[in-house]
Amino acid sequence: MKKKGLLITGIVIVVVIVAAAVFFAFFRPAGEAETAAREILMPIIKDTEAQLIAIQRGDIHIYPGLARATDINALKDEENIEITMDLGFHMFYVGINMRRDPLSAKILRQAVAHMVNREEIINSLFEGYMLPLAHFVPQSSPYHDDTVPIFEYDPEQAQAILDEAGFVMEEATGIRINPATGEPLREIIFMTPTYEVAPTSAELGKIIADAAQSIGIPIKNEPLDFPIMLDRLDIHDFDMYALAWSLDRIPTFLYDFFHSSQDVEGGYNNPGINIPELDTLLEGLYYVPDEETARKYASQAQQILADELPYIPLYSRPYMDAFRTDKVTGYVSMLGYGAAQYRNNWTKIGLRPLADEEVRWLLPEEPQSLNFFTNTSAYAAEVYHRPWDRLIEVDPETMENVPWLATDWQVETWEPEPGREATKITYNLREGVKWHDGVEFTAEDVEFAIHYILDNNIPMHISDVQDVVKTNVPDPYTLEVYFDKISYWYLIKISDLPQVPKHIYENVDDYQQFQCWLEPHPEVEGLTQLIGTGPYVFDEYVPGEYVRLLRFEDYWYDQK
Amino acid sequence: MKEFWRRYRRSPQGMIGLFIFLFFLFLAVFSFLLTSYHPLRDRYLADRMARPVWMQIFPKYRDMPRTVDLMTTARDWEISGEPGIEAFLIKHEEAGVITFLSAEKGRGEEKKLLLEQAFLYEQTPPRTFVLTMQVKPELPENLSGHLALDIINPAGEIFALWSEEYTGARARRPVRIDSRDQALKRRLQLSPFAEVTEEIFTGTGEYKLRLTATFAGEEDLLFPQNGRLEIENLNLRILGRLHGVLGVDHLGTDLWSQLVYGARISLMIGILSAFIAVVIGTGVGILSGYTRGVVDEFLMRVADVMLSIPTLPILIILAGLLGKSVWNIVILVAVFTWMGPARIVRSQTLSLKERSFVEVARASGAGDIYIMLKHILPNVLPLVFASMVLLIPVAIIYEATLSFLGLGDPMTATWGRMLHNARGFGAFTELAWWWILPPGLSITFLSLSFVLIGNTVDDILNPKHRERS
Amino acid sequence: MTNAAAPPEAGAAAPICEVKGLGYGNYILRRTIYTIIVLFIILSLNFVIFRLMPGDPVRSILDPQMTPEAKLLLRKQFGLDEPLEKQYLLYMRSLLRFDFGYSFSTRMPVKQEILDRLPNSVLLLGLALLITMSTGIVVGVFAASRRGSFLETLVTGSGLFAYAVPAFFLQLILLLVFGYFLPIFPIRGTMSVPPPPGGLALVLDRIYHLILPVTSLVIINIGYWALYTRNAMLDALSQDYIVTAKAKGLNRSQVLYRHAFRSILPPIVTLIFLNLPTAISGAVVTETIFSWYGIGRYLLEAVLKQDYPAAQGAFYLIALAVLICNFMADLTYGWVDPRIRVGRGGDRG
Repeated sequence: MKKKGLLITGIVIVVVIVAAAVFFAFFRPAGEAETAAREILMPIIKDTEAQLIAIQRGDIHIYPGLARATDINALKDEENIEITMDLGFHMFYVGINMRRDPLSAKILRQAVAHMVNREEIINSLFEGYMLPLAHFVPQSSPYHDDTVPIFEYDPEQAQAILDEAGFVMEEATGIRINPATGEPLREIIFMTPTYEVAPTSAELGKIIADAAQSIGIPIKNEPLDFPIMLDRLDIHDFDMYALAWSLDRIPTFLYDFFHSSQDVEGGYNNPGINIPELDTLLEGLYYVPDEETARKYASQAQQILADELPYIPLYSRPYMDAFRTDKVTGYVSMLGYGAAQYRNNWTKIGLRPLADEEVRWLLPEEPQSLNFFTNTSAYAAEVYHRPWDRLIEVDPETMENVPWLATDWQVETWEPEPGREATKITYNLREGVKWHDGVEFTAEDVEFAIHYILDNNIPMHISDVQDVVKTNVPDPYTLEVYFDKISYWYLIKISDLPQVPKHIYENVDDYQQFQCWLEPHPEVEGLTQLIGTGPYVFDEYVPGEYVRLLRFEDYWYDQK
Repeated sequence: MKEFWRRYRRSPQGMIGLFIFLFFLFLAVFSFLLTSYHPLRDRYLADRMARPVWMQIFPKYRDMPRTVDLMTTARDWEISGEPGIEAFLIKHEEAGVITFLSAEKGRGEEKKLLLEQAFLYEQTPPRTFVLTMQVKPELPENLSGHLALDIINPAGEIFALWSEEYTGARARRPVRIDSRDQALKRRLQLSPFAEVTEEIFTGTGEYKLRLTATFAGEEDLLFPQNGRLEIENLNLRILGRLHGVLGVDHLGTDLWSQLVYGARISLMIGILSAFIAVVIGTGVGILSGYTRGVVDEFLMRVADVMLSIPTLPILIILAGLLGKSVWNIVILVAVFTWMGPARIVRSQTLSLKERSFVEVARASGAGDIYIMLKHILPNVLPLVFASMVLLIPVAIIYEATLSFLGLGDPMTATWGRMLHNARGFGAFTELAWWWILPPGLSITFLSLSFVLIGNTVDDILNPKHRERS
Repeated sequence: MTNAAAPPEAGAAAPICEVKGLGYGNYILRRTIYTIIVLFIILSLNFVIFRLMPGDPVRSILDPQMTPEAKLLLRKQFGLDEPLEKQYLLYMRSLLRFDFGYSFSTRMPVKQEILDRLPNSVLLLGLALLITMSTGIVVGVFAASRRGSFLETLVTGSGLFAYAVPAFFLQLILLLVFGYFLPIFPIRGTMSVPPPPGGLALVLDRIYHLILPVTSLVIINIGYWALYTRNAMLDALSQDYIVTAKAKGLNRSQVLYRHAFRSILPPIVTLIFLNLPTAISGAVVTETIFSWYGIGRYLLEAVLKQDYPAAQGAFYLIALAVLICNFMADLTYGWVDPRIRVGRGGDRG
């Protein structure tokens, strides 16, 4: 009798336990995470295979920067993975040397442009995961002008304009005659990166070369090692090349790329375009007083560029990031920057873990050095931007300026000398913002950053501040910056400077040697000298393995 | 010679090695017969990572599609629904052209014609299709033309793939409808990551391509007669998910072709490299062993220094910096492997030098060079030959390793490169063992064959090496 | 990776001029000088190769924000403006101080990056060598004692196979089977992320990550060790004095272990030093396949990125290690050699 009772009790207990386990397995309350992530752990996984497996197995929750179609295809059908897609500022283009015959003839450039089949390239090389770009300013930029006419893929048209301009086809060789010389066109070399480094680029080179050849333009594609290619570009020894730029929301790059003054050895005006009318527009764009005028100049510049074709833009890579929807929430898609890139402030402050304690965010490459004054790697930027705030932020949908550390600003003019006007910007800064070590953030820190860069002539940032004449801090939360010229862009350039805590860097003589992330903080235990005012504190970087960041409890913005 | 062959035949390891070698030689020489595809240039032969055809024996893969081109001719199309006007469609003599003509029957603003072509699809859904055609509009002033292409699946769902409006006269324009196109996905209101084919190909049965041509004239005017829309070479290519002997890689190139042509390269690189190494080594060895003195010291020092350099690291550095071509690899490997043969030849030369026939030759006034060439050289040849054969697998493996690390010639399909691609383009995550195993095993067996042959040859020609058995 | 080191009796590491017997000290001195000369040559070569290569690292730092003047500044900082001879002297001097300059891609001191990675490489190779050696020798001894057995054919056969199978392929297969097909082992890295807290858990975690790469190295190299040991044992067993001992009725195992084995110990020691360089060179492949944070992979990545200082530094270290190993091999061989010579054909006791 007793035994039976015992047995029944035992069975009941087992059943209850099993039922509970099953219940919790399936109906685990998806904890609406109340607070921002306590910790961000960034495992360093370089191998693509390993990266994909990591997100599939949940070892990482965020996979930023999906680029290859293979990888996208591997992840997109997974149940609990969401891939966000945002227009970026990337531009992949073909650059043309306008100084040299025969590509110095505009008609020839336009004919080549007609032979570029962006759809075919994007669909066959990238399985459709790129955005065709034929304009000189990417679609995501506020300065993109859609009305500018472009050259569509049209082989018949290409042949028609060539014939009309006198580039007649010589039947025997299949090459067209150059009307300027009377001789068949010489072989045009199209440089691309090697198959090793960038297989799609090399492949693309071949597609375009073949297409051009089919209508009698003898283009031959030549995959080259990157440094060799760059050497040739610098001394202007090339015909055509393929490269990409990562641009930004301000259009001053048009000046850097297409102003005649940049046509020097080592300058960025590789095509050698030299058009006075364009020069004036670009100068105006560079030193523009406000956004309206900027739009006007940018439009007009794009009109000229679209006709002259120093570049044939091909495509723009959108930002594609993968998120484990069962592990994280609160990420925000951002126009121009993607959901997971370091410039996306909104994901930074909005990210919340759902299941685990920490958020595991993939770092696809070794950051190596976190010296933000000397660093050129995007992966290091991924790390040291997290502890930072910017003065002015960017709206994720409209790309308008949003007050952040600067609550308010005025763009005015002053007179450095009588009769000449220049820009003066006043930033009103937020009160009660603290650095990670508890020291208060003031306008002196920003002023210090400006002068530190100027005094040390730091190559990476000097062009942002070189027009600064003087600065003034009338009170701890007001910064006045006086420039030598007029330009609306100064506002953003100053806002985008790295966060340089004065109380730490005033003791640093050699910015190149100073490894802020390795030096322990003199006062606060557990902190390094890589600090900012942002939502996450840099904790440690274990080379080869991971980076760790911890939530900043005294962050000024109430993240809830 | 006959004696050599007779003794060789008796050795089981020798014969096995020989057969394996002959197998790969066959692959190399007759590659053009074994495959009709170019290992690198013929791309998009099938959908990426399509599996080998013989995997059909597994039920999971039995019904997967192969690449198929539905080239349609005018005759295949049927008029569907109310024909606008009879004379609209002309079934052109040239098979690949469909011509729509506007004709003058009566008034009205719009005339339309629908053409349909049905095809049977009985496999599992494909992942990708590409439809290409060329359109040539020739329209007078007051007439506009419109073309639209839809696909209808057995369930009756209609998917609008493409449409375009035309005016005036234009030259022939190519049209390409790719199932991966983002614009198409937007038109079909699918997410950027959706598979268009999954939405369309929901089952087996009859699928229809529908071509709709519309001419629109002006109200109250006589409908113009001379409008013309021509469609040429309409082809629907469905990319297969099964292909060939070994499937395809991420770009759709045939893996069997890569394997077969890879045999050529491996053999060539291996043999050439070993040959050069042995030529250098023999020269150095004889010179060194015969002349002795300063020359000997110097040459052997050079050999020592080179032996002290870690081989793979230096090869990596030189290959990386000198540029990635097949010839570079051949020469580099030769430059770093000649030392072994040199030593062997030198010690052989040393002992030969003391032999009587050399004494005799010297006594009768023969010059040094003459002696070296006419007396020493022929006698070291058996040794040289054996060491060359044993050096070939070394060269092959070095080349494969360098290619695998990414330092080989990207424009040449070698086995090492195949493995490099397998690693870099997802063969491991997809567990595509048919991509990974064949090249690796080929390297192994080819090397093995030379080792076996070399050992056998060595045993026969150089009996004193045979003391250990 | 083939085991290209020939066994000591072929004199691969021995100098061509034979050991004269007198003055072991003399011999050491000569070998030391020789080694230094070789080091010097290798380093000069190193410099020449890298400096004469095309491509300028500064140009690869492309940033629309940087002016041409700023780029010029960077060139100065990298010292690329000096004449070639001066660069050479600077280079040699800095190498003597183990100062490898700054990496072009990370701007961090190369020495630091190498020091970060060195322990991992040493751990991997050291452990692999230890296990390979001990197992290989044991297997070889057994194979020698059981002639004509299956074990013996296995050993001779495996030695053959090791020569033909490319090491990287074997490792790929292991990775495929045990990392992907049956996800038992981690497919990358030296430890989990984040590493588990606590001493024991940490050690276990590292061991867990070591299993695949070490096993692969053992499988690749064990055949060679077993084969060599077996051959050396057979050699030793056929010595007259062994035969005599057997005739005297000594127990089989006594004969084996006491006499023969001891007599082959010295060349085995030499072999360790001869084998190390191959292992060090081969680390590049292993580390690449298993994403190991070590020097070999550092070298490869530096070459692929055209990062001269990093590649130079890594190569210097590897070449130095190899040179030291060869030197040690010379030393032990020289010490060992006269004894072997005496043993062979001597002692008929």
